[in-house]
Amino acid sequence: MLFNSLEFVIFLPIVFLLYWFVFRGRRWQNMLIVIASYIFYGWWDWRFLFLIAFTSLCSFASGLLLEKYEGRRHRQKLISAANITINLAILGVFKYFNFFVENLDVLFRSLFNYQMDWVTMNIILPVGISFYTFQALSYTIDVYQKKLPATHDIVEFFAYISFFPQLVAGPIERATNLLPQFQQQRSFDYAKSVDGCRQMLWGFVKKLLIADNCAGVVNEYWGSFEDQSGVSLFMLSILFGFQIYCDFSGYSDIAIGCARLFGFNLMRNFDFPFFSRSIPEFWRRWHISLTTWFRDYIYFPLGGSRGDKWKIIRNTYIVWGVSGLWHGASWHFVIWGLYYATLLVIYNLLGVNTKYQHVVAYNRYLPNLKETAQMAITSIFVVFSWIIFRSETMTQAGDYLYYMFTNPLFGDNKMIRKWVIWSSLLVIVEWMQRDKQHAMQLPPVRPFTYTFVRWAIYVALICASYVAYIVNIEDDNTFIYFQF
Amino acid sequence: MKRFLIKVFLVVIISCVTITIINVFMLLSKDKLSYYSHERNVVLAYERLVSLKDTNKIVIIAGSNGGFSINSGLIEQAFHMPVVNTSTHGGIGVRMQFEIYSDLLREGDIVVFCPEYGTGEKRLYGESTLVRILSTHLPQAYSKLSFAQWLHILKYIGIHYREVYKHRKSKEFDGPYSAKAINEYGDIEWEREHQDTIKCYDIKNLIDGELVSYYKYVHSTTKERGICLLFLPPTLIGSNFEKDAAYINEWAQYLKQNGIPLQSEPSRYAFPDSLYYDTPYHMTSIGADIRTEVMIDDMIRLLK
Repeated sequence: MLFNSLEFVIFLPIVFLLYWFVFRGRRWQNMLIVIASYIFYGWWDWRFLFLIAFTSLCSFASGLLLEKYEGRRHRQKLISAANITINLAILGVFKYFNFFVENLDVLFRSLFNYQMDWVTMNIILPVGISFYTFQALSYTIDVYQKKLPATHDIVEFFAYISFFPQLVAGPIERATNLLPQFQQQRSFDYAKSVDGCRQMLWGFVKKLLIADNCAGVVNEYWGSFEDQSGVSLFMLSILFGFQIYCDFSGYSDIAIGCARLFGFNLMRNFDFPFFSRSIPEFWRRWHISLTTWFRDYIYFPLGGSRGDKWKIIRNTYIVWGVSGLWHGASWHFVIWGLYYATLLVIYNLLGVNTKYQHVVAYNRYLPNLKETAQMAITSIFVVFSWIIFRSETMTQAGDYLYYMFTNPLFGDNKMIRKWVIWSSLLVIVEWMQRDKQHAMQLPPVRPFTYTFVRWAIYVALICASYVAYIVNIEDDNTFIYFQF
Repeated sequence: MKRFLIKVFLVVIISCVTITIINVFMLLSKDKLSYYSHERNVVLAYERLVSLKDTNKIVIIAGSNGGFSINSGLIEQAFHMPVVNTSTHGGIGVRMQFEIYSDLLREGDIVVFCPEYGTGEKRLYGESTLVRILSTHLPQAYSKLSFAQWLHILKYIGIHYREVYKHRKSKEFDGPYSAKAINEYGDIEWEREHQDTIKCYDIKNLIDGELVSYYKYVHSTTKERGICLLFLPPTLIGSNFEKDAAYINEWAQYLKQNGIPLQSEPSRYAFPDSLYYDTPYHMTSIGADIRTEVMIDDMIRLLK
């Protein structure tokens, strides 16, 4: 079930009312969440419910076994390794099987001139598999590392893995944050729910009004990038940046807002990344749940930033290579990851990787010249990365860059220009709200203190999103990150 | 909780009212390109039928295979009855092809009904074309939509409005697709020569129970009202027919089993590719004459 679908508009109020009025006890509410989440997920393909149930069951059992063998570190290590292997094997089969087989074939052909008789399988990628697998892994690792006691309640564990607001595209929650919330009695909180609704609304605005409209232009022009002018191609990659940001952060806003309606606090996934002054800062603000997951479960265990600089460089490249592969079973995603690794290593060597922890232009309306230049440079680096990310192959990315620099500089780019300008309005709104959790947290100053002004804003945004939705109804409007 | 629910309810209600107003506005927006196009035949045919309300006539009901591939003048000469060709675009759906004009038919009229091949809700209830044509040319016909059809076309309102916006600067134009090409019967009368770029349609399983139910309804309604219904196959380019003959024949058999047979062989309406203009249903000017001759033969045989 998509957030931007009629089914969800009906589904959410029903689950909400059942949750607070019918299933009142904690255990019953957890049970309802599992049922609702399985309906939500099964809406795509009910067969994949077995997969998520199996993943959940394995991780739940591994938690119990880890507890049983408390003090026997060797056994615990084996149990954790077994569960991690099972989870990664499932992910590998469904997401990477064809990729590895194809690459092995290429390797054998080039090295030994030997045509391998491999069969590639026609595998459908289960929606959100990378997200819930990582969530399941986080539980096993946290229990192994004694950050969290193993849960004995299978319902709450299934609810943790399948919690529908963040099931298919995150934020990737840590067991240490989300699981305890399933273990506590939840009570309805008016302010939290209102804020959740506002955040959901802002998520829908970003997805329906900006991302889906940008998608139409991006898809149209990216298909014929050879014929576009240099400036058009540059603007097109900016537009794709807006699209993917609004698409993904829109999803995260809907997920976080939706979870708040049920009394849950999910971790923040985006923190106004457009206003980053460096690439390390950008990655502290973009897809935070994934970046911190890699940091905590891969980068730190590898040694993190301890040790000599070569070790740091090695660790950075490993983490970002894996991160690239996580995004998709294709070499251009790996290159995309390595591109960021290189930039991060440079920032690291310059000693500025941990700089800029606070919001830019704090307590000021506008950034100063230095901050503006830093944000511009960071944006240019990011824009180039989107070219690699959006392309289907590395060759295509190379061609895109080639045409960007060799085609005539100016040409007809009315549509692209129009949407870049429209999308820039978002940047203005987000700039004004950059010290908030989300852009719909209206400041307590006039005219926003008047109820009718706030309501007028809500209604206007709902209607604008609706119009955008029905105007683009025949296009493919699934969230980009579903494919990961 | 109560406060929260009331506030959410109020915001939803206000939004729904506003959205309804927006929908009505979009629904009634006219598409300038459609206004100057052959789709205008919907209203021209309607007006002609109103003027012939008390006269017996031949009414052709079809999609564009009727508009582009029939010479109504020849039919008028053969039967000495006024002919009204209501055909415009298959996208308005079979149901509205008939319903728009149904009230203007009278006892003794002859209705030649030859809808294009196709299945599903789009074939029966139409697609964005229906919204475009009704909004631009005949908004009063919205009253003929059934509830199920309303539900079906709601999703096309936005698409229609996107087109309205896109075509806001359209001007009058020439060619077979222009309103200028419509003759006094409702046919497309513009010199059309064969183009080499015709792509076959992908005609697959045509069995569709809902569509057959509607055809049965058309049969029974016309019969009750003393209207002579001739249910003929549409014309289809030879190569496409050859490719999908199995599906088409299966469809013809299915209609027969349901008591509403096509009253001629579909193969009689498949002509050499060179007689088609730009799509598998649109014939050249010469092709239209040849198809009409076949149709007249069938009509004479059936009306005997």
